[in-house]
Amino acid sequence: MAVPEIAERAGVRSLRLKRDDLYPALNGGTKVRKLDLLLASEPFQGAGAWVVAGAVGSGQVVATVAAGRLVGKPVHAHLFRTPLGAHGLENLAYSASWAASVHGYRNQVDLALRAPRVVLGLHSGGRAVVPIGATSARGMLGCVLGGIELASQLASSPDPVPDAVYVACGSGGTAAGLAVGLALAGVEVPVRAVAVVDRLFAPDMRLSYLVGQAEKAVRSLGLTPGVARLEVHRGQVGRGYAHASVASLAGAQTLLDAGVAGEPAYTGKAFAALVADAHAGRTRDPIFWVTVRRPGLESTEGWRERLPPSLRDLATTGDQPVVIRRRGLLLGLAAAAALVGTFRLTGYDGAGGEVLSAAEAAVVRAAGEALLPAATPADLDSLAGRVDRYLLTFPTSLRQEVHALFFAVEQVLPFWVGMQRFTVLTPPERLRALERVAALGGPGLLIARSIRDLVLVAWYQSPEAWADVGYEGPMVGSLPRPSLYDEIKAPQGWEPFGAGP
Amino acid sequence: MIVAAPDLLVDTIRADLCVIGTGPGGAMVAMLAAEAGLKVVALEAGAFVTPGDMNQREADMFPRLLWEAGGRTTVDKAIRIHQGHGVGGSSLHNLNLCKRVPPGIRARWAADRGEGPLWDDLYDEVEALLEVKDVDPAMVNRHNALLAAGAAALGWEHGLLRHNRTGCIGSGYCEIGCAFDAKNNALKKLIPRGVRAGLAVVSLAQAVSVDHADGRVRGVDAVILDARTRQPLGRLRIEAPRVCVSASATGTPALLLRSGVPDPSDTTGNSLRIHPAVVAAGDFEEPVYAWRGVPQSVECTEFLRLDEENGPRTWVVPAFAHPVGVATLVPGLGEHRAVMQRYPHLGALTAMIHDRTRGTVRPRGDLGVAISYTPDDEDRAELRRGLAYACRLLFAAGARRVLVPAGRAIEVTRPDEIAQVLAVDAELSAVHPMGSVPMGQDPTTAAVGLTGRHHHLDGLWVSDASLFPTSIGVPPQLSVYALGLHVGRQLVLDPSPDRGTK
Repeated sequence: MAVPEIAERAGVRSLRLKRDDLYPALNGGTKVRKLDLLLASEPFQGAGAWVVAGAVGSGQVVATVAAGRLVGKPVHAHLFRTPLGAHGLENLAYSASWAASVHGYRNQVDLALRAPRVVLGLHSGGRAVVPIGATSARGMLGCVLGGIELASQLASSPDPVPDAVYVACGSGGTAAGLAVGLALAGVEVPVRAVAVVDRLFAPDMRLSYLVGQAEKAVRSLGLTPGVARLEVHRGQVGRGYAHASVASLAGAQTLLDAGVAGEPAYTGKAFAALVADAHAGRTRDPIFWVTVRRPGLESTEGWRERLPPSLRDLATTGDQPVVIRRRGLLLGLAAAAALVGTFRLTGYDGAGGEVLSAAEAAVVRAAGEALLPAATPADLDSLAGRVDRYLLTFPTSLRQEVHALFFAVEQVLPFWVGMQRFTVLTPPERLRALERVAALGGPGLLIARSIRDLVLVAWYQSPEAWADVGYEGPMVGSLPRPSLYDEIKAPQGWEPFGAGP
Repeated sequence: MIVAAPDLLVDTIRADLCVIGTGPGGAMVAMLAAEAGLKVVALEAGAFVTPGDMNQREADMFPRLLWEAGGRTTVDKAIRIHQGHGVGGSSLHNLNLCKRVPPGIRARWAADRGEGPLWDDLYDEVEALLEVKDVDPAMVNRHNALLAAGAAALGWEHGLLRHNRTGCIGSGYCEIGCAFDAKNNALKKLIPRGVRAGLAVVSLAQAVSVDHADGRVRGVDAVILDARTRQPLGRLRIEAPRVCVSASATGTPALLLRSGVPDPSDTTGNSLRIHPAVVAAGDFEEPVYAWRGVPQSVECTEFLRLDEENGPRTWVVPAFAHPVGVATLVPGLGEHRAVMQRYPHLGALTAMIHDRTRGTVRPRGDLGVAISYTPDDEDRAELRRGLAYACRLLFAAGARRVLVPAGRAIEVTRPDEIAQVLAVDAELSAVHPMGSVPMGQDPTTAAVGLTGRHHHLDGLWVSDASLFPTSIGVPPQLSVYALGLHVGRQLVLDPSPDRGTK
């Protein structure tokens, strides 16, 4: 539907809304599109119960619980804490009212550590686990159909061809499915996926992978996908997932003023991106996809009592003066931390990598400067990139240990030679700090040895280092090598035993 | 065929048998079962890396061939444990040593755990298949010749090793994959045969749990890994009435425990052996160029009497590597570079022991392993003696000084100072995990029977170094191939469940 009154406020020539809040099933919202096909398939149909995970105010959890109520399946909800607005609180009330059980977690990491099977979507014990964000090949097919639906509406519309479709992007499946659906229908309009989660949780690589998975799902139906156009807009994440920003609150309010469902965590941020792009001249005739459900969910009176203790405080109005005092204390601590952080956590030149932050890359360079007297400045500049590449295949648990190592080297280790951080010390001071902490043995030795080994792994893989130690380098390339294995490598599209979906 | 999991169009595969791991134990079972007519899917957490991909660069090959890019350690970080992945498993990066488990150890296994495989017949067959032979004396490099010279000078027992290589040109890069396809390993000798018989190998698919219900296996749940980052991309399910776990002596018990596979014997993951090893490096007047040529062709067995129950149990062989491997082994901080500038002049020996300490393996999250291992007093004493033997051999071979990696760098400048290393706990490393799911006839004392079939869960089999009842004191690859032959034949002869869908 065209909404000229909002178009003017947004600064675009024309604006149309694709309103999934009016989607008829359950309480509406795009989540229903994804769950529709997913929950109708195995193992969900045959399972005795469903398991779903999300933020405390998750719409996905609400949609799953609602679907479970409809077909008589108990739904077990795993919820991690995030800030809650009015919309999220209504979602939490609904989930707590009707879910078979509710489990609470401090944050996403806590959820991943304590319930990895839920995060990985591993079914067990007769319980089928809904993937995070309902993002799976089958779930995305629902969004592919949504893209085709939009394409058919555009085909019969006299309005100008849109120049972009804006949609909120959490786990990425909705945006990927829509992009593939539009491409399948021959609509060459980019989908601008507005990230509402940190890059860590929806990196570009994952979105590319999801597009590939959606295209595979399309191929499995005997169809030939077109070239999906998916662009990621990362300018509206703000403080993180579910944290409202001034722009997202304004975006949500604009939609609400026009009688359209809106909330600041998803649709508000997506709309804010549309407005920002309009002001930058990147869009004139966009379509905005409203992903949120309809307002008005029924909850039971005793829903608060059904929450685990770890979540119960989120559901109470609380004692305001205490909250204010706590806030005052927290603000004071934050100010103090910021003051310290200004000196100890900022001011790093250069970039990080896929694993290393800019500060960690600076620590690598500084350690290299202390340990590798033969290295030139150019050699030192390349060290961090090599360490980053080496760490790329480390499992998450080991990466966390490495991050802790860098923190220890930069912030703790220099206490043995002064109060300055490691990267600010001179190279001889850094070496002295490493030697002193190594002499302590135990964890001190481990820290010194570990940072040394990371630097050495990076340095001795380079031809510059080989010359210094008299190593001639690999001989491969000068001799012919056999290629006997092509015949056992599967061709593109090959499936074991001709298995098909 | 071999297909990478991210390229699959389906997320569920149905098969008669799912083999988890494609090292010598898993690849042998998969090949035999495919040749017997079963529909077999083999999952491999690593990538399909062929000789054409092996570029002799440590930076590129460590992540492709080794778990955690070679950085895997025990939980307390005290011991570095090298384990391989990739289609072919650790046989891609091992050094091709072929030694049989001594008869004395096998006799003790039979007495304690029941009569097991007909080892000698299996060894004969495997050695023929892998073309095992003595190393050509002309291929012994200067580094190995120094060990022989040192042992000869001391009057200590030593000799040539046996290898499974054909067409070796002595490039010296065995530990980061043979670019010239000279290794007669699982990738070269087993996988192609299996594929010709219909075997499907899915690389970059790591098993997370064995699905079972009502005392029977139902399949395997796995995750698809990204080739570059090894981060999970999605899930894959194999539905199969038989599952053979060959995920190594760390991966197998972790998987069984994570899956809740019943084990009233409480032995799963509780008796890990690793052949812990210490290293000593000699600095020689003349260049050694230890990285050139076949890395290990000579052994010193003077202190290796495995047929005796309480005999000496230390094996000494050369140990060397390319620059990254050596640099991380060389001790010291500020003085490190000075040692590395002697790189062409360094020769190193490793003393590896037949260990009695029982370590543990537990799952760490859905994809990792937690390895705990602290040598007991007897093993620590044996390791210290081993270090002293290595130092004596180096001096006897002409070393001017000997360096020992320990918490701090230890330099021994004269043979009469060697006694000082008897008070040192040197840094430990290990490349032979084994014995973590020891096989045995009695279900009350073993989780897995002597055929490789699990005692307590129908349809479940194990085929890898986990099954050894104790440490074996020699490199394990030949015995793992032999076990794979044994388990694979038992599996295809097993009457239950029904012979699948083919």
